[in-house]
Amino acid sequence: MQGVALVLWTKFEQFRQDGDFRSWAMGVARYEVLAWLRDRGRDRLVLAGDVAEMIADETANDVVQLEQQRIALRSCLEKLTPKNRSLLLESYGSELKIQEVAATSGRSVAAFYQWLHRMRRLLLDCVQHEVVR
Amino acid sequence: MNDLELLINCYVDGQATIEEMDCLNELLRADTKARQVFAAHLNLDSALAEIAAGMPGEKAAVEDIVVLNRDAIFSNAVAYCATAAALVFVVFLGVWWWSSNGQQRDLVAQTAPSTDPLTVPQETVAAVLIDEAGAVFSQGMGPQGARFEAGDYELLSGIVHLRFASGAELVLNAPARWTVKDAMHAIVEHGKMRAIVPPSATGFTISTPSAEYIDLGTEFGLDVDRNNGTSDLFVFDGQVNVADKATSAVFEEVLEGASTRYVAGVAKTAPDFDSRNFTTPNEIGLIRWQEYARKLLPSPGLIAFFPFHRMVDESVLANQVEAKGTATLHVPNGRIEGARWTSGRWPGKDSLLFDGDGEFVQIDIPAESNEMTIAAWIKIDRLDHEMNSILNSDHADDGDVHFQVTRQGLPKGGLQGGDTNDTFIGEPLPLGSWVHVAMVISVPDRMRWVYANGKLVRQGNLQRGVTITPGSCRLGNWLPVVGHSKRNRAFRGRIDELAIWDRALLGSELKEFSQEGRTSLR
Repeated sequence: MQGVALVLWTKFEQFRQDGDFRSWAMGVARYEVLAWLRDRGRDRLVLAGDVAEMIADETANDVVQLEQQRIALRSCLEKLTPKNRSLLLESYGSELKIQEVAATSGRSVAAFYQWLHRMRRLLLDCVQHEVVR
Repeated sequence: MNDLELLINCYVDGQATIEEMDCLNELLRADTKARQVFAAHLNLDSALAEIAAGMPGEKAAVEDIVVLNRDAIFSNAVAYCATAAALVFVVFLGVWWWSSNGQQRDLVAQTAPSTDPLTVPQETVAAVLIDEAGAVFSQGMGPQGARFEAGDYELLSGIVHLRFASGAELVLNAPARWTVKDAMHAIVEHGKMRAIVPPSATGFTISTPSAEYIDLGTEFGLDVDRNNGTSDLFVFDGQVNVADKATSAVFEEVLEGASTRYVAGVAKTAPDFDSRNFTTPNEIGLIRWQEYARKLLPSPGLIAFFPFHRMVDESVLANQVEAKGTATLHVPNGRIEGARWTSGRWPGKDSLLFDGDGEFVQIDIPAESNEMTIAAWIKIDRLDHEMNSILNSDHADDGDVHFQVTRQGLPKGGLQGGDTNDTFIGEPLPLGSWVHVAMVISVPDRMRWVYANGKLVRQGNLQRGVTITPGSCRLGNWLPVVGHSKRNRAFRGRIDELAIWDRALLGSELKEFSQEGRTSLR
């Protein structure tokens, strides 16, 4: 949490005028908040401070694109099979543990993570492609 | 999948080991492209989380922020620093969200359940709330929403107007305590009220500690003393019979213009027939509004509030917001040209009537801002032109504002130089009734919104950002650019109250203003 979020805050005044920054920052900050909540007490998952700073600086230039990718995500999700789509969203939902979702999909946890990584790559390709068009 | 992406995925899954984190940090530190990929993954991941949560991004973020605040535990020194920074940021972010909604405006407002008393099935409930001003009920002795079921009620302060299923209406002033028996019967323990009983409710009966009052299609005032149950009756119209509580034998028939006093079933000297301020239903709105105007003035960002009170100098439209110090912005009083003073939303409230081509109010708004809200109460008589001006800057220079209604009754607003493209998403404005309209511009968000009665009816993007500089404006008209088509934009109708802020108000705030200034709950 200290990483990206804190850096975003210190950079906030700079970005104040740019409306697009907000929604992206909210999304990233939210992720960081969630990750922090999840990992509280497991300090290992911390992004190095200088790394976080660099990322915040650099992504400021890409906010419009990143925001467009978020918007494109919905149509990219439509391109998945209903089964894959619901499995994916379930794993992001807060109700079930990963182990449970993996079990419903008939996979081991390890195999499920691999599937999840493939899905993300698929969607990332899709949104990046959508935005370019 | 290469190493970097695998590591990123592990991080995102919350599964990375310490060694893997070290490795990831190294890769990211070394390479711009790696950081780009990382950011793209974070972006995607958080977007998926939002969609999974089924809420628009910002609302979801706020929910989590609330959870974070609630669960934060300062367990050790190391965690403390991170948490403190996090919480400062989070609170800041929370404030940020509340003060400047992005493009997901009003989703919350639109999904809020309606408490429209018109949807209450009136045949099953004894009485319903029609209007109120500052009403405060005793704990557990108030209506359920707008429903007055059979039972006891106590009003500690303010005024309520309720209508029984029979059609009889009571306007009660605090302090008052009463029981709703059914659609035709009420018991008043103490309080002051005006009763309005239509022919359909003839025989409507109010019981007090001293006597029973049976109405025969009329309007009357009743004042029941708190300490001794003395009941004073004033008949304004029609006839009221006063009867013995025990036997229902009629003591006397009281006709309009007459008054009586009873103490424990015994007639006493009748009180002088005075008005004794039995509040009428219409006056409630005015009382409510006076309270609202008093609360509105400190609203942050309010640069002008024209309450539309006729002054001794009838050509002045006074702005109640005073300049704070010489350095700050001051919107001077408006100058009325041709528009006539007439009655406004309630008896005792004024408004301006615009009825001719050359009628307007000159208003100078010397603001320079990148946010603005303009709100007014209007009652449209006719829509004579393609564009009917509510408030328009003179000419059409960059930074000018234009707030008007089309011939089809669709309100439109804009920032000259902003080049809006937009969608209309509501009903046309009604003719002949009071409606609260508002236009909100936010240059940082590149957005413009229009509201009617607190509900979003139009929204659009500003293609360009220019500073908002309304300058010299006309209310109810427009000083046209030479040679422009659509030159005549004279408003036909009444305008009552105009408020201008140099910030973008939220839909919820506008909804509150439109509720508080409404003519009644009906």
